[in-house]
Amino acid sequence: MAIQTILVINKSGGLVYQRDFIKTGAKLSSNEYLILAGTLQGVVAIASQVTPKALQISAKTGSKTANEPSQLIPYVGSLGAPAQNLSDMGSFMGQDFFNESFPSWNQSGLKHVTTDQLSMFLYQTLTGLKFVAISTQSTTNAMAVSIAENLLRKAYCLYADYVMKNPFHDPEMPIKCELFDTHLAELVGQL
Amino acid sequence: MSANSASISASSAGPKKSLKTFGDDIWKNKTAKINAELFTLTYGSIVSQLCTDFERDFKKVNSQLYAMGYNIGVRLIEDFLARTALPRCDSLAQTSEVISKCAFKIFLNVTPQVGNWSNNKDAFSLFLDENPLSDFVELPMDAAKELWYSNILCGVLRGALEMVQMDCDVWFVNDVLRGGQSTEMRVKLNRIMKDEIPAGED
Amino acid sequence: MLTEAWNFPKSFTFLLLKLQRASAKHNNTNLVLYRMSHKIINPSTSVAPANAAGSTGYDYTIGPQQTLPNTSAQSVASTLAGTRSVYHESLHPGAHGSHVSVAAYAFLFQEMVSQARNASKTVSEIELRLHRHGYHIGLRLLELLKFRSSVTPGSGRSFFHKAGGPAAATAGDAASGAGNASGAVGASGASSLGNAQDESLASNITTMKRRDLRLLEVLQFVHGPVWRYLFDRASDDLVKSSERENEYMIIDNTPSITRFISSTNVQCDFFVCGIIEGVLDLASFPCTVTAHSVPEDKFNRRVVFVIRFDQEVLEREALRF
Repeated sequence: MAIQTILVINKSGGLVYQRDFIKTGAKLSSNEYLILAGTLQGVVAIASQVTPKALQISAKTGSKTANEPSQLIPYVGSLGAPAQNLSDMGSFMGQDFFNESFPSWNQSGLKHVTTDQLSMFLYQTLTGLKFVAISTQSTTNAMAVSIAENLLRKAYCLYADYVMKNPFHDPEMPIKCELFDTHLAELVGQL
Repeated sequence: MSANSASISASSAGPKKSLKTFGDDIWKNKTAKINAELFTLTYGSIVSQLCTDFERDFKKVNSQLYAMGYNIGVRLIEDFLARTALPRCDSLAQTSEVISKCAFKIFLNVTPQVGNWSNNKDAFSLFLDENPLSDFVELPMDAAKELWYSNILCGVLRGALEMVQMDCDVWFVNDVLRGGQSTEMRVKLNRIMKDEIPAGED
Repeated sequence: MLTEAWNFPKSFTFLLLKLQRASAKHNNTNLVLYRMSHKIINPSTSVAPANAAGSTGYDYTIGPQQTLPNTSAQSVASTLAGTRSVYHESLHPGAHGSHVSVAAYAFLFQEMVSQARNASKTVSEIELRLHRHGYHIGLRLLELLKFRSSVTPGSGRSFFHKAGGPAAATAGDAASGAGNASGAVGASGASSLGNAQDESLASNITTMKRRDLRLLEVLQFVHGPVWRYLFDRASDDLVKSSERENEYMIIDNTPSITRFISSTNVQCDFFVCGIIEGVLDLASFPCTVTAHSVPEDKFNRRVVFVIRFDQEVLEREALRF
């Protein structure tokens, strides 16, 4: 799976980070990316509205009693090359940023969009931050979705280290942190 | 309550794993560490500088520490969530457990006791038996009445909880540095900011 | 200088003075002790045992005062009893070893830099503020590390548990108990409690480590013990400048505390410069320390700390043999 673009959208729907990892191919203008970010923000909300109530309720009771597997995103292992190859784990320690399956914070909103050309994956945090990955591959494979969620949670870990711990970054503002750039590129490059 | 915490930990860390084990494991195996004394000394340097800057007006020092804590809290919550991936708590009781057994454990390697619940369960206290911020510290006489030395912690909790849509007041009730029997922080939930809960989370 | 909000050196000196009596035959020890007491005794230390019974203290930053906090004798005494064990434990080599997460430290550091940034108009002013924060820490480190390394290793830990452990475990009870006791017998109760503990730590010290007197020794001290204490490893290199006689460099390939901060025109490592300068200044090697980002091969965060000693240091160094 080749990741073409990663976006970060703040909780009010503003695009705070956009980076292309594949130099070729059609590019959106920065304005178009801004519109995309705003649109996604709205679509996630709408998607959660149209999710059938019955489904939501069964999912909820399911997770309380039987710990329904669909609620958990499996840990897919270090993506590509072993994580020790990462130059630096920052404030994280061990083989990888995490090594257990984890629940999704995004239960009923938009998570995954597929077209003939590409797929888009969306990871939303409890604080309302959204990480978006756009892949050049069209896929509906559940495994691909898990991989993307793992990747984006790792991107969130990098965000916690290199954006949040940087005194020169102002919360909610566009991210201009060279260390976040390099570590994210390293992470994506491993796939 | 016990059913809730069972479900929360089960969903995040496999069956039968308590929040305590979960927090301990993250602290032990997933968290890079640094000398606690450097932390203590750095915080001490910040507080003493503030005391000088504000000409020993300790009320101002308290509010400045709180403001600094708030700035930290709104950032720190992202680190906490990225590290733990814990789901939203469905009761304040659960929140209190997460704060004490996970958050304090993972960041400061201490586990405050939770207690003193208000009758309607909207406020609780955290008792800090150990406080890495205030090792080495003895308050001078003029500060012992007014300065809440570790007030930064209140700001951190306030900021972090606000980012997960919980509007809380946090303040110190007592501090051993001021001659108290215990170091007690009070957390009071005002309301859950339902409008701001991100869409898609049900 | 030494502000009072966290003046642990107080009981430190107190303790050292006791030691001085015990081991007066060691000349070196005396020299060091003299220096320490000379530099460290803090005139503002208002809560001395003699004052504990509710008398007013003197605060040099305010001057003579009419009304001082009317703390009851008991609460002061109990504070004293409580904090005495804090001093005691924190001085012990076994006390060092606890950790907090790098994340917690990074957030605190981040906020400290933000504050400095908000309060400053220029880049050099930000750096100066960070430097000042570090300097206060450096001043404390020299004595703390030298003292701890003087305690005989091995003897310590068991003692620490015997005397320090229970005191800490029952801090609440102990504090109130001691409070009542000293309330009854006055200040002597609290101070004798302190003495008992001080002496037992002193018994584990046969020779006080002396302050380093030679330039290279003190630099090695910074390069090794200080760095290991701060960052759990020695610094990567210690180099003498080939161009200037008074210039030395300490090199850190992977600076720990600024590792999350993308490079800007502000050099946040000035905080560490402050620490180095504090240590060297207190050891009577006045100098100026600056930090420079000098990436090399795979270490793109590499920082070089340049230490420029004052002329007097070189002159003194030349006098000795």
